Amino acid sequence: MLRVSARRTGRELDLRAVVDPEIESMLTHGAELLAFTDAAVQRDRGAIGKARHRLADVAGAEATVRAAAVAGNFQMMNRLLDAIGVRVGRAGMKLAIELGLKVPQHLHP
Amino acid sequence: MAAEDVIPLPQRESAAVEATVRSVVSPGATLTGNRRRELAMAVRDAADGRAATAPDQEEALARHFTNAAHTIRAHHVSEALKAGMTAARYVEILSLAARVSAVDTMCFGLGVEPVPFPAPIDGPPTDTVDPEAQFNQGWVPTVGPASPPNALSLLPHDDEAMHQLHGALYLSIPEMAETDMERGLHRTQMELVAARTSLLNECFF
Repeated sequence: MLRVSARRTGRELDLRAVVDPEIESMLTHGAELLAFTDAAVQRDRGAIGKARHRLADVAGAEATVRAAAVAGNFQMMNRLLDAIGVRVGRAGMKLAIELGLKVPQHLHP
Repeated sequence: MAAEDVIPLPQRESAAVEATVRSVVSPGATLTGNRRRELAMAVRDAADGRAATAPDQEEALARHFTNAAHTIRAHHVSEALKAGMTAARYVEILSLAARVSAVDTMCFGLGVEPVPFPAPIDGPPTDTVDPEAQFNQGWVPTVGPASPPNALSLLPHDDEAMHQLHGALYLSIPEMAETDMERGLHRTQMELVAARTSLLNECFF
């Protein structure tokens, strides 16, 4: 959905930033969003305060709430899908290969 | 803004958290409210890195869902079912772990303390499962082929709770067709967060 959304709305995007946050995603506040996501999902108590502060400073409190909420939502969905064995679609497989990710055999279509 | 500042939950997100903790302590399809609360506490302990002394099968499963769902394989599910756990019980524990992980991650990100689970609500399990659910491309019964929107479709109440939470935290299923929407973040920014979360969880969706 990331690539689809970027294409349909005419936004530039370097998808490799998802795998390597050192790469500039080219999205507005992309670096701050990625740092915040990492700290929230990994429950990094040493990093979350600074990451929240940085994101809120550049993007605002409403954006920070949405980032936290979306990370939470995908914590839920990731667990649901992995635990019931939903297979990755062909488009997802193609994207994984493009990004150098190895999809476990049991998730192949 | 100081680094230690908390960002309060807005009304819609706060209501979603409250609805989730109420659901957690209410009787479910196969478990009492008291047992669901115990398992939800185990989810929080696991997320915070607190080890269990002697977890039973259900608590061990809740912890597995919380911290290493990407390592679950078909044999884990079949072994649980062979040991006497029903598919409905497996899905119910998964639903608890997934939804508690969602609201607690949001709270952690914003610096908000996790909302305590209230006292359990008395009553027997509801025994409500969807009779249409069948094994269909997944490891548990689903209504239709196993896919993101119907992952919990075996249990109608959990399925509804998941969709309500999905809509409050991210987007409803109909809203997902809209690629140019703004909700605090532009859709593309939301998808960046989603994709990075999935990568960190070693999930490929």
